[in-house]
Amino acid sequence: MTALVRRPAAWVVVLVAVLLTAAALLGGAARPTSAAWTNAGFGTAAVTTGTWSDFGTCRVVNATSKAVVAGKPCTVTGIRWASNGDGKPVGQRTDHLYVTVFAPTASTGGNELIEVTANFAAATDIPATWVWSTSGYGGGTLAGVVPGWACSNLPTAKLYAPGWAAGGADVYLRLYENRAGMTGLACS
Amino acid sequence: MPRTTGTSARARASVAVRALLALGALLGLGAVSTSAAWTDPAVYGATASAASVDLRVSATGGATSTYVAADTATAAVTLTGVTGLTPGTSVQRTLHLWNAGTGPLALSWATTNPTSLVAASCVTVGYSALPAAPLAGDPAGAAASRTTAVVTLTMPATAPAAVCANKAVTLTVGVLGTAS
Repeated sequence: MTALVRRPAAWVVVLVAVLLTAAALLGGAARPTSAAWTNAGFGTAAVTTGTWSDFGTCRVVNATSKAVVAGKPCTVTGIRWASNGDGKPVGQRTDHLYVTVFAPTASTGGNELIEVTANFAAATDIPATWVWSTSGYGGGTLAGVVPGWACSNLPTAKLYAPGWAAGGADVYLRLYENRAGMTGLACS
Repeated sequence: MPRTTGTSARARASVAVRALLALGALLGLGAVSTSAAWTDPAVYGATASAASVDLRVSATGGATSTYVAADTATAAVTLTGVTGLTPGTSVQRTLHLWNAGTGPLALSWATTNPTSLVAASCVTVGYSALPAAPLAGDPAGAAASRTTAVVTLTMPATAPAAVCANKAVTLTVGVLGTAS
């Protein structure tokens, strides 16, 4: 009698074990389906980068409206620093910069300008000690002031070069290490 | 004793058979319940009113006919290209989304989306915030079933020409809709 009573208990254990195994298998099978109720949407676009140099970027604009003239390529090909040789100390120097651009299809007749966003820090030969926080620029052969451009943005500068420089002629300007009290600045 | 032994053997066999049948039935049910999981558009729900999952994309928005089921990167909708990106500029492209299914979808950007193009110093890729609430589903295309997702490409002013200039790449981005 004792044996008969024990055997059903063992079968129940086997049955429960089978059911638990089955439940575990189903649980494992069910988890991956939780990701099934998703649907993605994709978009794609071709992206090209332009042509520029580490000296900055430029674009051809209408001399009057300052609107960009589409389809006319422009590259800043160089910025060169030169000392005026006055021996002033760091923080008080006033030296020269020469910016060159190449905009082969720009008009050189005066109805178009070259808007330049220049990185003066990349200028060839510029002293590593140049103090930008107090600097300003202007004068020379610049063709105008870009409204609202702050001197505090230096060494990034915005300027207008005359159309006649589109073929690579030097555009000359003065670089002041201390803009305080200077007149004719091309930045505010 | 022999009677007792014979009864025990039959009973054990019976229980074993019943257990195997129960296991087979459960596994069979499991197979049936998962078999519909990988269809697209999928049908889900245990009730009689099943819902469909169908997120569609358009490059322009507007008529529902412009939206397509661009489910994979290879089937992506073609957006207007970006040409001549230069330092200090940024450009946006918009994905128009429509939940053409019948149930709401929670939207999220795909985790595979890029955060930069060409190189980390060249173009950064930013993503607009998507609606916090699930997007309602409507096969008819009601306004409530549509939204937009904006991607912004920015080239920092300091992008080095030697690395970043004159490059051509493909931007592919995805939005994931998850049934809630």
